[in-house]
Amino acid sequence: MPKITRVLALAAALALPASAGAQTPFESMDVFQLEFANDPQISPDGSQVVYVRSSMDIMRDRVRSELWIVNADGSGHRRLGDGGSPRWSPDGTRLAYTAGGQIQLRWMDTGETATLTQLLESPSGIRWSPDGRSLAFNMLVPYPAPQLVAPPKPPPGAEWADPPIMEDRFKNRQDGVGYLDFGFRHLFVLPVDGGTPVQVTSGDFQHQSPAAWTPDGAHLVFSSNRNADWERDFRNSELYIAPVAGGEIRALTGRNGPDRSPAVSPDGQQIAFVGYEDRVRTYQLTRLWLMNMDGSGLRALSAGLDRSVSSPVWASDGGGVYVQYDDEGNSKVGFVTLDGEVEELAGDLGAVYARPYGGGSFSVATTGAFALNQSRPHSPGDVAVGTRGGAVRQITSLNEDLFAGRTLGEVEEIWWDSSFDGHPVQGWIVKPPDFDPGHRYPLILEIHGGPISNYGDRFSAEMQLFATAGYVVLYANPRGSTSYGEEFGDLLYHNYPGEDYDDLMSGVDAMIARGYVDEDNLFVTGGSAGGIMTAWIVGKTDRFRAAVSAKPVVNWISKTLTADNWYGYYHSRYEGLPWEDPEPYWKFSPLSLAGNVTTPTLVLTGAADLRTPLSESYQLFHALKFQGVDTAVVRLPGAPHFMGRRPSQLISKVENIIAWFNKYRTHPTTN
Amino acid sequence: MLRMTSLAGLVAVLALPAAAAAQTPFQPMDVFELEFAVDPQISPDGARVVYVRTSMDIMTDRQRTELWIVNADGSGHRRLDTGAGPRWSPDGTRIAYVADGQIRLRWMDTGETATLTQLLESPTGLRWSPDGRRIAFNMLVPYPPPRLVAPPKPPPGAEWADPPIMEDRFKSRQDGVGYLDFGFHHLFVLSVEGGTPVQVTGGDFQHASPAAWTPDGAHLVFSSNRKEDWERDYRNSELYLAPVGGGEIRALTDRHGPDQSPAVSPDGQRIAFVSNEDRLRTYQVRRLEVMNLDGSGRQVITEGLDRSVANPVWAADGHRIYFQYDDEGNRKVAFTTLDGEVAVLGESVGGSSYGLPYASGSFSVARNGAFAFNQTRPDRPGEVAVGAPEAAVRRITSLNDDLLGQRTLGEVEEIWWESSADGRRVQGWIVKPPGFDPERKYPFILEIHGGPISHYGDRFSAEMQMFAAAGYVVLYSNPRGSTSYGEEFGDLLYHHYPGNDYDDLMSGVDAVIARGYVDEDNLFVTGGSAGGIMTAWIVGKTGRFRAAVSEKPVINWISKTLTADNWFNYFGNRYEGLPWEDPEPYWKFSPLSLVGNVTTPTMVLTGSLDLRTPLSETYQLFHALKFRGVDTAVVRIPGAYHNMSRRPSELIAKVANQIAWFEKYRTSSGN
Repeated sequence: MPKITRVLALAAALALPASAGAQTPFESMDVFQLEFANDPQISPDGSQVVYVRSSMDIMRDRVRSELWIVNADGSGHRRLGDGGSPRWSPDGTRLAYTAGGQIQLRWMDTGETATLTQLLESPSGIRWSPDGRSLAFNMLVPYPAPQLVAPPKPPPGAEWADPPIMEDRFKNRQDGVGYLDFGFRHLFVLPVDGGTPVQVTSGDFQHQSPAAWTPDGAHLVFSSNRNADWERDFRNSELYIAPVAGGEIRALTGRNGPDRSPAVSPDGQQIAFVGYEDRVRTYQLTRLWLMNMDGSGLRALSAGLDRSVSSPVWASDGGGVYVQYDDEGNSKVGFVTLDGEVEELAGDLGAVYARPYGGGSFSVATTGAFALNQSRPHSPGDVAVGTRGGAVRQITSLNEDLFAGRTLGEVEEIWWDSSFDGHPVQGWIVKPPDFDPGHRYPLILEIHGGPISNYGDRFSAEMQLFATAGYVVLYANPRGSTSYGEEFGDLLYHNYPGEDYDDLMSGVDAMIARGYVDEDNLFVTGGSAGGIMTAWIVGKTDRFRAAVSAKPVVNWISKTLTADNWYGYYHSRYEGLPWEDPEPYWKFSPLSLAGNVTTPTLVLTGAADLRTPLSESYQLFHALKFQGVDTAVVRLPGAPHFMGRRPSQLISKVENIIAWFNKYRTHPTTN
Repeated sequence: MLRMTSLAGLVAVLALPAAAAAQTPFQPMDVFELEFAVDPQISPDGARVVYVRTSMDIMTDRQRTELWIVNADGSGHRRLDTGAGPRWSPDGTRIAYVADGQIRLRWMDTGETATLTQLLESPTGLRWSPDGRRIAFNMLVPYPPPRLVAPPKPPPGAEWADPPIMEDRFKSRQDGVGYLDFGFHHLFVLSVEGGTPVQVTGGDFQHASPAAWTPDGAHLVFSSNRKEDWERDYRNSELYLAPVGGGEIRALTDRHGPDQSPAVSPDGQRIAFVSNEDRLRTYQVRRLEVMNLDGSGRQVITEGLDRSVANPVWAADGHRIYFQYDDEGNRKVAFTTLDGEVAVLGESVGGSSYGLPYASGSFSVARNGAFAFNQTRPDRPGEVAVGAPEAAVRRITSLNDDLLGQRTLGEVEEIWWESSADGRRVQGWIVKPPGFDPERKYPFILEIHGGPISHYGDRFSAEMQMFAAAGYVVLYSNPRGSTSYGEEFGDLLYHHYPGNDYDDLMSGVDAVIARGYVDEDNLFVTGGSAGGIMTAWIVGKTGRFRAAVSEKPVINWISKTLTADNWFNYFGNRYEGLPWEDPEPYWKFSPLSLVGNVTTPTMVLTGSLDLRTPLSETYQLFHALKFRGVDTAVVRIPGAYHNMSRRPSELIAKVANQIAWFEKYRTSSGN
């Protein structure tokens, strides 16, 4: 029978070596104390920042979102109310935001509020018209669910089974949401004085990205795919221009590939946006583009930057475009001049609490000042402000209260050369609090998801909890990771899992070479692509004492026909179609290596995961069970792909991983 | 958009041709009026029969089960109680049965009842001791679910996510049940005077089959697998002898393969049971065997009968053994001398499979040799029948005369043809629309059974009748792999499924077309489980069908054999090797491998909770067809497991959707 371990006691035993002071290490329940800043919106005059303060509601076990305001100098920090997605009016006198599924308006001088709408569906992507008199937004327009035949009719008061549910859409589920409502998203415009929204777009197409207004307020520019074959043409989108008053919607782009995030220049002459010509690869850089309002004169503005950019915002003088991009595991705010010169304005963009993925956003005032949220290894996410050419200042300290009493694990950057081709690989070491290099510690290799994504020097509650439990952790960005350029990110094209395996094994070797890792106690875990790589690793080597594969794909044939994003892999990730030739899908499936596995392997997945469905987890569990390998499945009830949506589940996830490792860890007292 | 059809209107239009009498055909809502007899138990003196009368509760949309009694001459038909599993005491003065999860006793002279137990788990397999003073039964003994670590503790009143659930068992789910409770089933003995049950078996093994008493009341004989490797040794079971008063449990058999259904001879010297030596084939006939009480002297009794036998019951004089078997789509009650001379006593056993004409039904035997069984015919769901070795079988109930007296059912005609593959003879049945006119041309439905190791027969089927009432000629049949035709025929799918059962079915379609009344332009195909697999296979092989409905199919044998509740049950015996050693034997029989050929509009219809052919299989077909641009849809039946007829409204809705899909593509040239 599995050994029951109380993690709290365990953590106390392992993580408070003799040299500890009065401070305690980061504990599981501290997850409920974490706070972070999201969606910082600087006022047009640059004097204030409204942001979404996220904290954990310990009664509801959920993330709570409130609007807070703070002056640019850090003073006047106060709560405005519940809500999300705040947007300043162009004159800075009002704030529009969403709360209770409706659009709310707040007059900033007196604090009065009004609910502007009575919508049946939740609005998103609120954008002020330049004259401050209208708001554009996106909203679902439902249509009746398809039905072949009316179900039989029960007598009054009867309790019959629910009637059948029919599905005929290409994309029909969304992880974190479930089965999607039947409908098309459209753009609407609402008078700020209240009233009825006017639907601007029409047709059986999805319009879910926020629109950009032209300076004259006469048109909306937006990204969509209004081609007849839009469902199957899912990798493609175009920019369109629509008259707000009604009339023909005209496509501004025509190439195959995504074109999105339009921003209209202050003079109304040009559109900045991001996109690429689709060569059907695993990773292609999303670049910043510029074109005239009629779609002519297309040119790449960030051609010299080998990084994907996003969120373009014009400087108010039209002299350039603010963007964000990831560089070597760190998210940046940058400024691109019309000559394509890229200037880094701020780093450490982010707001994360579970694992050190990229994230964060920024906004720009008319004055050129900007606000962003920032994350560092010991700081989940705070508001910072800066100006082009000036310093960046952090103006909130949301976790000072908690962290003042905690000793966090130190995070150290490390680079090594891959044994495969000598390519340098970046990673980070997290050390137990009060780390002693004279000791030998058990090691956890923690592998990121994606695989086309990145970890970085950002806060991570999960890494800290591993460190608190006495483990040295290595997390890294093997090939396929973003923020190192197009070639590195695309190395997994038709070859995944590939030599990212070698990159990671070289990283473990590099750690061992440092002398403080117990080679007999190596452990490996990771979620999603990290869970795939974990399952792949135990099929290739037995150097790890135990493994936890979180939410893996183990069979690419079934995954690419069952996940919410099932269609997103053909040709671009794997060669051909599985029903034409399963071999390119099978040979990269961890299941193909199941016969080699001897490492005790736990599989841990959210029961409501639609990205890497539970059916993948059970394939691994059952194959190992049949092989007689030590294995188990742990399901997190109700959890989607992201298991940290409810803090208790994040805690449970980490504690189960640690308990599985502790079950197989040898000499637990030598530390 | 899909065309909406009101089924009621549809049936009215199609199913009342000019030649119809004043009576109406079988209506969808008639499903709620169906009743059938289950588990008939004849009293020891042969004078009366207690049975479970099953009817449909239109308010709860569920099957209602009540105990009824009827004299052997059909008189005195009356209700006793709610409940199931009735068993007469050896002296015929009492019956024991299960009601509300407890064992209940009824004195048959006065009708008084007593609840004998207060059990935490539901008892099954009630068996009276020969002296009528004790009852043996099976019941789960739970153990605490495994967990690696205690979950974090919420504050009082908080509403946290449910804690993680760990799974470490080989078999962990059961279709129709869900995730299995953690525990071991054990045998218990209870004093009929009331009191506390005594647990007879111990150990971490499953004892889920009913026991047989030795005549002296000192021992129980039962089937189990008490070997250390029992979880992975799942194809094997042995017979054991356990002293009721406690003591060593002794294995009586040791052959690899199932040894089941023990019955101890009246003189206590011998045990009759059913068994086969496991040669790891797709279908192996189970034979009746007899051995001495110590396990010596094993002897096969039904060597000359090339059919699987079940449910052995000794005649009171110990000279014969009653049993049941299926022969050419019809279940028989028979007995055999110990020399293997078999005589059929009753035919058309069945009736609890009311949706589709699968085999079902059971019999019981009185001390005087009289027997009772439930009986079904194509125009009659299950009724109670009685017989005796020298007397004719008489049906003694008429549960559906009220409904069926007002309905004209479709006529069911037997048909045999030769397969184009090898000339083998194949049996099937044609169901014709009420008021059938051989001069007309009817649209045609090929309905394929599940299993594939099972069979259809000349039995009542609400689903076939609804197809016929909608104006379709239906062919249902028993292609190779079907049971009731002997071991060789049933095993033809060994390492070759889907195989020439495809040819058998296509030849059947040709044979019905040759009769001249089928519209060749309006051929449709459907079936559930293995029938859904074959439907998906068929549309990958031929374009002759105008539309198809694949119900609850397996599409990908690699994922199915690692995700279903019975995932482990295919390796080696159905397909060669293990999928992770070589996927090819699994892939080449997967309908997904043919999906690139499909042009037939194909709907997939599955219960949301199905654990036998999980929804993840259904979505693989739906998504592959969607990607290819073939007309397709999924219909999910919420809350339904593999059996979609547990709730009558689900059965009605299922058939209505099948018919509506066919109607959408049916051309008007016919009928």
